[in-house]
Parts: sequence; C-alpha cells; structure tokens
Amino acid sequence: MDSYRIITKRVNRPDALAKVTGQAKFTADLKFPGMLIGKVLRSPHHHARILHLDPAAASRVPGVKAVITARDLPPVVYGFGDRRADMTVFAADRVRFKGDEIAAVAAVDEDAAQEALDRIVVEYQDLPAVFDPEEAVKEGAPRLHDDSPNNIGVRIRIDKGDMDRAWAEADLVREDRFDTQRVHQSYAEPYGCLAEWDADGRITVYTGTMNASGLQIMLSRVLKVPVGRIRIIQTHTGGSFGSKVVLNSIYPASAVLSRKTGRPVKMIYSREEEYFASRPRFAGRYYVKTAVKKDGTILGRELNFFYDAGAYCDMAAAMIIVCSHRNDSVYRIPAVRTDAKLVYTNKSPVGAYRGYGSPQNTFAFDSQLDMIAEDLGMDPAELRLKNATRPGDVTVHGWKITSCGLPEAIEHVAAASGWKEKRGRRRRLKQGIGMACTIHEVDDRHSDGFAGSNAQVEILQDGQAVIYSGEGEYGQGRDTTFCQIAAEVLGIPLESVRIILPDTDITPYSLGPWGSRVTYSGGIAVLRAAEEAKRILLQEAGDMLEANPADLSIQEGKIFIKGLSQPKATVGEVAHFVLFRKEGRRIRGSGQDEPATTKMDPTKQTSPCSTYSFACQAVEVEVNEQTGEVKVLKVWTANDGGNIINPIGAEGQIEGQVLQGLGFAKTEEMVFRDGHLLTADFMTVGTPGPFDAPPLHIYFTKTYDPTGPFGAKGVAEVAAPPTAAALANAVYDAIGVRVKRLPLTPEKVLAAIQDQRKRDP
Amino acid sequence: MLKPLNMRVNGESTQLLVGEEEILLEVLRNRLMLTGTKQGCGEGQCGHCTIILNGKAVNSCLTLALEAEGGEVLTIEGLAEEGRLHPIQKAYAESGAIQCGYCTPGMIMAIYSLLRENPRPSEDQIREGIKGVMCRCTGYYKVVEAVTRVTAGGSLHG
Amino acid sequence: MDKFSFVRVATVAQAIRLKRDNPQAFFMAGGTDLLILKRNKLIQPQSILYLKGIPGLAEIYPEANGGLRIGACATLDTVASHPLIQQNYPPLARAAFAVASPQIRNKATIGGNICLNSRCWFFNRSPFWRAEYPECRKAAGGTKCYIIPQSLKGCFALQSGDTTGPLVALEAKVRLVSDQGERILGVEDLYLGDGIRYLALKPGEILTEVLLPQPKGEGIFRKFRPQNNLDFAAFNLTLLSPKEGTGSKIVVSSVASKPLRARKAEALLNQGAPGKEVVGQAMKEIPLVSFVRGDVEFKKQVIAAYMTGAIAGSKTPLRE
Repeated sequence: MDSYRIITKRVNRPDALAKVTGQAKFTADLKFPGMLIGKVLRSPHHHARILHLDPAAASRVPGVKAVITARDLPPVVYGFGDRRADMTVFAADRVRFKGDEIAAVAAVDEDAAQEALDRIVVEYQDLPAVFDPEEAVKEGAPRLHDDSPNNIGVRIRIDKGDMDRAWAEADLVREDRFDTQRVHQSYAEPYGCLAEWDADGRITVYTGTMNASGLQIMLSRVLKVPVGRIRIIQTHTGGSFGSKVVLNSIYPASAVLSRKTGRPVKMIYSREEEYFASRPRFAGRYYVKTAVKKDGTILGRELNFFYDAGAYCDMAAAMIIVCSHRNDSVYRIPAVRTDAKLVYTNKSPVGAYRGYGSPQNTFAFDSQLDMIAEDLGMDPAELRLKNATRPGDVTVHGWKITSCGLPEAIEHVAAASGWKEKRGRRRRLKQGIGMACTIHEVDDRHSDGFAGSNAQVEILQDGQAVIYSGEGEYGQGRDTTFCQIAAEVLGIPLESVRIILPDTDITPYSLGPWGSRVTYSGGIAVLRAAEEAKRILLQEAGDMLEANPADLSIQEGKIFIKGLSQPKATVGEVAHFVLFRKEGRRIRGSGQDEPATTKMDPTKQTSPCSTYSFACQAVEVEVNEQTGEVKVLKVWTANDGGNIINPIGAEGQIEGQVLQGLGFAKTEEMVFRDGHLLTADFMTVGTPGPFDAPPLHIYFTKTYDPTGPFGAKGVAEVAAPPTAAALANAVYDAIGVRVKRLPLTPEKVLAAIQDQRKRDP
Repeated sequence: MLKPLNMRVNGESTQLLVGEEEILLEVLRNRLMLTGTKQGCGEGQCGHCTIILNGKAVNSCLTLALEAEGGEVLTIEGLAEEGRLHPIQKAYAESGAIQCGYCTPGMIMAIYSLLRENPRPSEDQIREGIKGVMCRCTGYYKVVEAVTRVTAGGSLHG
Repeated sequence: MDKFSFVRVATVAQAIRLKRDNPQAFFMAGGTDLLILKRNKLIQPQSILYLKGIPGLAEIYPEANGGLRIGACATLDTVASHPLIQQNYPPLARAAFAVASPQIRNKATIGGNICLNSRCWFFNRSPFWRAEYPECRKAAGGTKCYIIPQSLKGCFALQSGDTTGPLVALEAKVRLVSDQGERILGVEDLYLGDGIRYLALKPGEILTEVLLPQPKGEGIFRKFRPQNNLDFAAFNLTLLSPKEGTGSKIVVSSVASKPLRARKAEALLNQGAPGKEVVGQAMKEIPLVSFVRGDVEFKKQVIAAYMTGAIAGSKTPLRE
C-alpha cells in the first residue's frame, strides 16, 4: 500500500519557520495606521433588566472615539446558522449572564477604553437567577427566554428500535446518574479581531476563526450588510478546539465602531474574559438506564439528558442534534430512547470543544458499561469487543458503518497494555487499568444544501503550486496535510506547494470544522483540484512537447515521457509557456467534495456522515487511598483515522487530546458558587502542565477508507473523549470505588472512598 | 511622566521614552514592533511573554519597562542570526512541536534559558524548564522531544 | 498615570526615607505579585521604590558562626540552586524551587516571598470578578468575609509563600531596617496570623536579610498542589528531625494566615513517639479553614497522610 512519496511520510509544517521566528502574525499582532482599541462592557449581574443605559460620560473620556450600544445595531435576533435565534449582539433590555455584552467603546489605547467602560452608566433591576439545569426546568423557575416556558431551548426525543422489548428481555438493567463539569478550551490565543469598515461600505475582519465562510454569513445577517461586502481574513490562529466558530459579539461590535470612527478597531479578549464570556464545554447530566442480557449483549439504552446550555443557545442548538445520538453507535445497541433537553441557565453560553459532547457522553456510557461488566462478571474489554460496532454495520440510527477499526483498536489496546495480566489483579498495589471507546462523525451533514468543501489548486509560472481552500488552519495541521495531498497528486516536491489562510475574497466557500471533516472533505476537494490542475498541465505539456498526455508523468517536478529516462521539461517550464503564450491561461484546477449523505436528524434514520472514526483508550493508574491522588502511570491509545497522511501531525493531535482528556478527567473545572464563576485563569481552572503528561502509547489502526483522500478519515476528536471514562474505570479497578462526577480530584476520590467505607465497613 | 529607557534589545542599542508604569511586554510589542513575544494571560501564568532579561528568562508581562534600564533583552526575533536559525529553532521546527504556534516563541525562549543553565537536562528537568509556558495543543510531548533533539545534536552553537 | 513614579533606589537608607516621605509608595523587588495586585487595582501605589539596584541586597554569604545570610533581593532561583543552601538547608532550597515557574523564580525574591501579600479566592481577582463580592474586608475594607461568612470579624487570607514553612522550621531570622534603626526578628514572629495585618512590619520598615542559623541536618519539604503545576500550595509541609532526638520541627504552611507549628507534636517526635501519635497530635494543633477547594476534613486527611509519610521517611537517613 505504501508507495507514496509524501503522503504518510513524516514531514514538517509549512508554517514552522514563520512560527519559530515569531514572524507569524496573530490577530493581536496586527497594527494598522490609526488603529483604535476596543473593549466590551459586560454585565456584572447574572440576570437583570436594564432600566437605564447612558454612555454619554464615556464619550467624554479623553482618547475615546466612539461608544456603541444595542441602539447602534440593527435589532437582529440571531442564532447559530439557521438554528434557534435567541441572542443579540448587545443586550438591549435584559442581561442573562454575568459577562453578557451591553456596550463597546473604541479608544486610542486600552487604558482610555477601560476608563470609558467604567463611565458608562447602567441601572439594573436584579431578577432571580437559576444555575442548575434540573432546577431550571421546574415549574416556577426563573424564565430566561419568554418563549421557553421551562427554560428548554431545544428538546429532542428519540425512540428507535423496540425499547419495551429490551426491558422485557433484559437479564440485567442498570440505572445510573453521571455528571460532567463545565471546562474551557483554554487555547493559548484569546479571542480577538480587527475590523475595518471603510468608506465604500466594505467590512474587512481579521480574526483567528475556524469558520471564515460561516462567519461572513453570520456577520452579514447581524449587521444587515450584503455578504459580498464582507471579507473575513483568517490570521494565524492560536488554538481553538471548536470554540472559534461562533459569531462573537466583538466581530459586529468592532465593525460598527470602525464605521463610526472611520478607523480600524482591534478588540482582544483578556484571559479572564475568556472564562466569563467565550464558549466553553457544556456540563452534562446523564440519567442512563441500560438493558443487557447475561451474556453481555446490549439490548437497549434509555437516556434522560440535561445539556446545560447557559443563557443563549448559540452553537448548542446545533451540537445537541449530534451529541444526543452520536454515541449510540459506538456499540451495537438495537434500541434507544432518549429525552435530550437543552436547558437555559444564567451562565455564559457554551460551544464546541473537541468531541462535541462525546467526552461527556463517553464518561457516562463507558463508566456504566464497566459497571455492567462487573454485574455480569465479564471482563470489560471483552464486553466492549463483543458489542463493538463493526464494518458493515447499520446502527440503530441507520448509520452505515463502512471502514471501522474499532475491534482492532480494542484488541490492540488490550494487548499493548497487558490488560489481561493487569485488570482486576493489582488491587493490593492500588493500581488499576480502565478502558473506554468512542466514535466520531467524519463530515456530518446539517443542511439539505451544500455540505462539502471547495478547493482550487493553481500551478504557477515557476512550477510552484498554491492551494486555495476555505477550511481553516488553527494548529491542527490542515496546511501540512493539504500540501502533502497536492504534492503527492501533482508529483512535485512538498516544498513547492504552499497554501494560504482562508480569505473569503480569495478562497472558496467551505463548511468549516464540523465533525473532523477538514482532512476528509477538505482533503478530497484539494485532491480533486490537484488532479484537475495536473490534467490541465499534462494536456498543455502534451501540446508543448508534442506527446500524448496519457504518456506523460510528473516526478519531482519534472515531466517524463513514457519510455524516455530523461525528463523533457519541468512543471515550471510548462506553466510558464502556457501562461505567456498567445491566449495564455492559468493552470488552475477546481475540486469539490459534496458528501453523499442525508441530513442529520436524531429522530429519523439517516446517513449523515461520509464515514466514521473510532478509538479505544486505556488508562493505567495508581491511587493513593489516603489522599485521593490519582497518578496516571500510562495511557494507551488506538485510533482509527484511516490512512494517516501526516503522521507527525496525527501523533501531535493524539498527544494534545490525551492531555486535554486527562485535564477533563482529573483537574479541570470551571467552579461556580451560587452561579458566580470562581475560576477565571489557567491555574485555578486546573490546566494540565508538562508533569501531567504520562507515558503515552499511540497506535493507528490499519484501516483504509476508500472514500477518503488517500484512505484518510479524521483523528482530531477521537482521543479526547475516552480518557475520563477510562480513568474512572481504572480508579475502580484499583480501589473498588466508583466516581460518577467529574473531575476526579483528590477531594472527590477521597470522599468516594470514605462514602464506600461507610457503606461497606 | 515619561522617562528615558536605555537598553539593548536583540543586540541593538535602544532609547525610548516610556511611561513609568508601562509594562515591558507592551513596549516590546507596541513601541518596538517586536510582536513575536505574545500576551496570553497578562498575569505570569502562561509564559507566552517569556523573554531573556539580563540572561534570565522572565515573564515580560510582569516586568516594568524601566526595570530593563541598562539591561540586555533578548526576544524570539533575536535568536536567528542573519537568517540562520538558532539550533533550538531548527530542532523545534523539525520535531512536530508546533501546532498553533502561539506558545512557540515563549517556549523557545524558555528552552533557550534552560539549556544555557543546563546543557544536558534530564527529561524531568526539561519539564521543569518548560512548565512556565502553557501549551494546549501538543500535550508537551514533542516539545520535550525537541529539546532532546537539540541536546543530542551536540552543540548549541552549530 | 501621570502621578505614578518608578524610582530606582540606590541605598536602603534612601528607600526608607522615600517611603517615609511617601506613604503611598510600595517597595518592589521582583514585582511578580505586586504588579498583578496593581493590575487588579487591589493596591494603588503612587510610586514604586525599586530595590533591586541596591548593592549587596542580593548577596548570599556564610557567617562566621556557621550560619548563612541571604540578601532579601536574592531571587528564588538563586536560593533554589545555591550549593550551600541545597547542601545545608535542603527544605529551603526545595521550597524556593517549588514556586511557580522558572520565569517567576528568576525574578521573584526571597524577601518578596516572605512578605507575600496574603491570598484568598475572593481577593486576588480583577475588579470585574470582585464586583460580585463588594464587602470583602481585605479587598474593599468592607464588613464581610466570603470564605467564612459566619465570622463577625477578621480575615482568613492565607500566607502562601512557599519558603515560609522551611524558614520557620529552620528558625531563621530576618533583619528589618527602618529609620528608627535595625531589629532582628524570628521569621515565625513576623506573621501576625491575620489576613489583613499579616506582617509585623512597622510602617516604612524593609526586610533586608534572612539569617539562617547553623544547619540543622536533614529535612523534608512537600508541596501539595494537585490542580496545576504552577499553582500556590493547597498546603506545604516541612519536617525537620535532627538525629539527636531534639529540635524536631513540624510546620504546615499556606493553610492559614501564618505558618503553623505543631509544637506539642514536635515534642512527641523528639521523644521518639510513634508516628501515628505525633500526627494525631499535630492535626489537633493545626487550625484549618475550609476554602473553595479543600474543606477542613479533606485537608486534615491529606496533611495527616503526608505527615505520616514524611515522619516514616525521616526515620531512615533520607535525602529528598
């Protein structure tokens, strides 16, 4: 299989030099003449009516050039894409979370901007607030949105297969509750943008977004400006992990401030603002009831699920569609009944974070699976292998599984970790090993229209190639992977290919980072674009060299005629010839991926994804029963990403995911007290450091997905979800104590140990 | 009140008038246009603002500009010489230690400082040396590998 | 911004004089805490008296009597890596090494660590964060405490400098200089046990030196910070148990407004009492407070576990 020149090889990032020299410009690094600094005024109240808002004093602060409120924008209520619309750029009459945007200022420097914010007069009338989702749905709870009587923004009820039969046939039914906590992506670069609204009504926004095409449309809607007058330019982006896809209020705010002042306006979040007002991972509460036969066959699962969305739906309305049913397809489950509720609470809205609900779901489902294994007297790895989704399966939701490395992943992890020798045998040493599995969508469809990727590849007059794709690069390695694909197809050196960051004036419309689709869908588009560019080039080369294009090949940037050992021309020579001859043309190929999928709908049988990725993970721990400290000894991962195009990048993705997974499992939490966020910095929120990174075994299954570019799928989100469940399962193996709430801090573990001792002294 | 600040930045003599409470990070980024050094938190937790001041790695967000009076400042822009990458930069670029790249300048400066004081650090010493720089993308694995690659390469001055 | 001044002080005498003439001035050495407090508007210095230029204030040199003098402006990195400190006062070297990150340690000083402003979840935060808690006694001169809401008075902010525990255990002293002269104070007496008036410094007094007595032998230092590699401690434990059977020290720090010595437990340890008895006694003597992370029961359990391990480890000649 491996006769590739560049695909599957260990290559360096094309932007490495820019990044190691500090030359790569992120949004905060941009400085334009006359640029002003913008800041947002945020509500200090959780829930309140705005009785009076007077920005006049702010305008009088020296150095302040403009102050805007809701009055300065069209009264648009919007949601994410075409999802539930319930938010405005600035709160006009009601604030619903501490951090809710009320106004913004632009000034010559940050000090003046802050002073202006301090001078804006706001009079509030406090309203009762609610912070817990189960409290929020009760009769009489404070209502956040007038059209959601029980604070339920979205409700999805799923009933597939025959759940009643499952209960009837069950030898064992387990019912458990699991809780996961709100955590933040804690990416390195805070949200930021630089906007210019120039005199001819064109708006340009420079920002680190994952979703340039989508942002262009959302901004157009919110400002009521034609899409064609908006240009989004993605700058180098310092991490995102799902967050930077939304319409943050700073985008329209900075644009309007720019219009008012006639100057560019830059707005950068402080680190504290990130915790108060960006888009962290939702906290999930799971009431899971599962029916199994005594031989371990899963018969069905019922789920009562609370998705704590915060004060506005934003992305959550799209997320709950996926996460209310995706994890039903990891194992063969013939019946599911789910009541998924997206609940409003007076906290900041939430968003996507690596896994899109899968880490939370997997914690609940795979923790319970271990408990079921114990009840049945079965080994948890065997239970998983028995029920694992396999190639050719059609899952309970109608999902057709084609390539699937899950059984291989489970077997590999069990073998590599020494599972048989360890599991259930080292309680004396307080050591244990636990496992979990996950599935992830690749390329999920959420509309009946275009749901794919577009790309163009142009071969320049010197034989260099440029890739134009609207999919973003934010560290995950799109640049490298796409350049590899193009170089492989074109037969030119990797160094001859470059790629630009998305710019909606230049790069074609692309869907963005949903369901790990960038390598898959974006890659297919690039591959097809490169193929067409190659076809055009060889056609032209045939004319130039008076040869049959079918007899031509390209190797290392040189054109060979079949049968002749010496190259006849370089790619550059052909391109140069073609460009400068009479009626010259550019050599530019276009490619598109339009997935042959059906729109995702949890209540129907659909085929919403091009393919699926899978993973299995095992975590080995040692527990100190006196202190509750859980030391992670090692982690084994086996990841099904199809054929791995960029091994260095893929390893890096797994490595980063595991540490994020461990943070979610052990240390990270946005701690609230009476609704007030106490943890608003890297340290107190529990961000992992280098000493938290355990020895790590990484394996990629030998899967090849024939529909993917060179057989590839996606790996960006398969290694973060299983870690918490695997760790909790390992702790149980070590000391016989089950913790059903994340994170497993020493305090929680110790409390669980003590509770257990009270129950079984 | 503005006060004169004389310092050497990346080997060059620099004279500026700075506000007495101005922060060195801001002076580097906004006055000297050296935007390689980043702000990630402004409170000494993330290390994205790491520079070398008088031979020691410090958080420039917790340094008043005037503290650098008469001193030597080295930023990421000062590592390469006439376009030739410093061995740390080269090893870093080749180790897969970069994903988003936002922490890269701070990380490289921290590594620079570590290897100056300890040219052959153990893996734990490497972790200690880099722990002041928050990386969310890599899990630190390939960062540690990058340092090992430099030290295995023999000379820091090759 | 115009009123603010940064003064590079040349001598201790000048520093004292300027502070006397400008009560709103703050001494600054490393500034790694001060600049954050200033940013968060918890202090509003009109001027900063920068001490790092004063000759001699950062020096470390042995004394004739076998002790060691450490200048207040010696950085934590210097203290952590100094051969004499590593060799003769290992818990102090370890404690300095345990602070935050290399970047912080390269700038922060031992004087600053000793005099570290007391810390609390509800104090060390921005104005936006604190708007929810406007009555904090320490932050706003108010009437409430949000950590111990039932308290009628007092402040429970923690003394969190990692070096304080070892310095107390080592019976270190500090030299304090004011315009009324000099005095030497034991480090233990430097802390008043209140979160607001946490240091027994007179107005305008500067800490210039740390004076360590003759080395006391082996010692153990442990910092418990499960949340994050850089964080302040949930607690620190310092244990000295010289082999002669006297001079044991058990200090738990970063859990109260001053470092806590378990004196009766020390006496038991001197007598060779079993570890369990020593620890039980120590836990009775140490008053703990429930904070956001770590209620009293949890802290008791974990401190006891660490102490038990430390005592057991100290019975064999064990280098950290």
